[in-house]
Amino acid sequence: MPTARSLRLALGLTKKETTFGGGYTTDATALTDMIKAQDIDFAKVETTYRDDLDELNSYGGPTEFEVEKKAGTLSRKFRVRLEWFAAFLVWLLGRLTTSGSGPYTHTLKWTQICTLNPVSFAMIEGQDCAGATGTYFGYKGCVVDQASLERTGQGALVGTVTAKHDGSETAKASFVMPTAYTAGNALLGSMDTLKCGPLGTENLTSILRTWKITINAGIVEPDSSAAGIYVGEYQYGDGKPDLQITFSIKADKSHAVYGYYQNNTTVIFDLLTEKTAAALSQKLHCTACKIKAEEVRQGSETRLNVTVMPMWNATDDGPGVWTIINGIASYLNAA
Amino acid sequence: MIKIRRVEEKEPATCISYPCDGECSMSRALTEKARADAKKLGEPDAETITIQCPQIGSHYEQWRTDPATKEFSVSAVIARAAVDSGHFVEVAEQQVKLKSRQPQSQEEDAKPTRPLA
Repeated sequence: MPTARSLRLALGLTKKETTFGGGYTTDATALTDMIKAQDIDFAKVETTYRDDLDELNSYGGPTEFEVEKKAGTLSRKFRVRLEWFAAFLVWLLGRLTTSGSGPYTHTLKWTQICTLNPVSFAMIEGQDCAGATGTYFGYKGCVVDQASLERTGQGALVGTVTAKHDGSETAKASFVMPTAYTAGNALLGSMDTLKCGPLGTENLTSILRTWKITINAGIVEPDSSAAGIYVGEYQYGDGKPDLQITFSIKADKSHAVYGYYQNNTTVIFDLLTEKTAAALSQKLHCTACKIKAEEVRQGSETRLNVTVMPMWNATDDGPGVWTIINGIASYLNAA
Repeated sequence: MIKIRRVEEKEPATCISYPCDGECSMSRALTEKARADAKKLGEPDAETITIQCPQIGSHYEQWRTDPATKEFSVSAVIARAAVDSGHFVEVAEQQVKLKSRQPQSQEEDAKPTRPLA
């Protein structure tokens, strides 16, 4: 029997489905990526049954179960590589401009108000052991529900992604898992530069302790029987995707940041994680934000826990803009 | 179709997402499926079926460009996304300016040839 540690996930980080739930035409050429997870987490299928418990069936319990519908979820926590996390951000937000000829600059703006459905992708999960191809199953109609990025101190950035799929599990016993994990540049806390203030040049890097960014797509499934018992469509939640940012700095109430909170000053938030200038980096820039600051204690140190509240604005055409520079030529290739 | 041109100072954009305009990959996929289903049922005009996805604007499609090409003629939806990205500008329609002076024969016709009686 294969061990739980043999779990692998094959993805096409630069691919997307042509139609929701359509899967990929050729798995072997589309699903050539793998990312290293930090938790052993299996894809889940949630099944809803219709039973006759609420009917008078001459018994005290249900006498029948019928599958009414299925949906599914998957979550992954991983040490962020620049090339891995970018793909999930792109699947979540969808609005991309790619330029350059290597390295490539990907400008990712917020989903527009008129866009109802997120991009969908497909994947295969299985326990890669001899004789265990019966554990290989394909999941399609996958959408990113939430993506978060955080780091503590000089440690590696950790990404957590939760996705939903359309509930179908297709046996893929003939699939061959990729032989190697997708190359990627690990991002560490030492590569961060944080600027937050009215001018956007106020550098807080030297006192930065922790930060966390969460984008929530709030994925909902409309009531639809278009795909039989499976999910026929996923939609962004109302007022989603949204952006939540928190960070903590070694500071007390005398720091300028606390003054921005007291005076409700509009600030620029700019967080750059750069491994190599103009070649390997990712940045979130929010042109207009308000902040809340709370003074707390961490051991002997005083810290300010700051909550950044981005405001949707015309410059960013959303709450903020991601700029990712890497060696990937294109994302969202229909496969 | 709207003409757009690259902004020379910026790196050439190779891919721009735009909200689908109903003539996207999903529409084409729906059309192919409908045609295949109709053929199976032996319907005679299966080839002429075209389905426009009802969820126009519901998801993002990609417009991929050749970095060497400078001018493009694209649909309004793509033009809007391209200009919004900052990598393209719209090319104003160049009107051919006619000479303001009318041809000689027309000038002569305009003048009264003989005074009214």
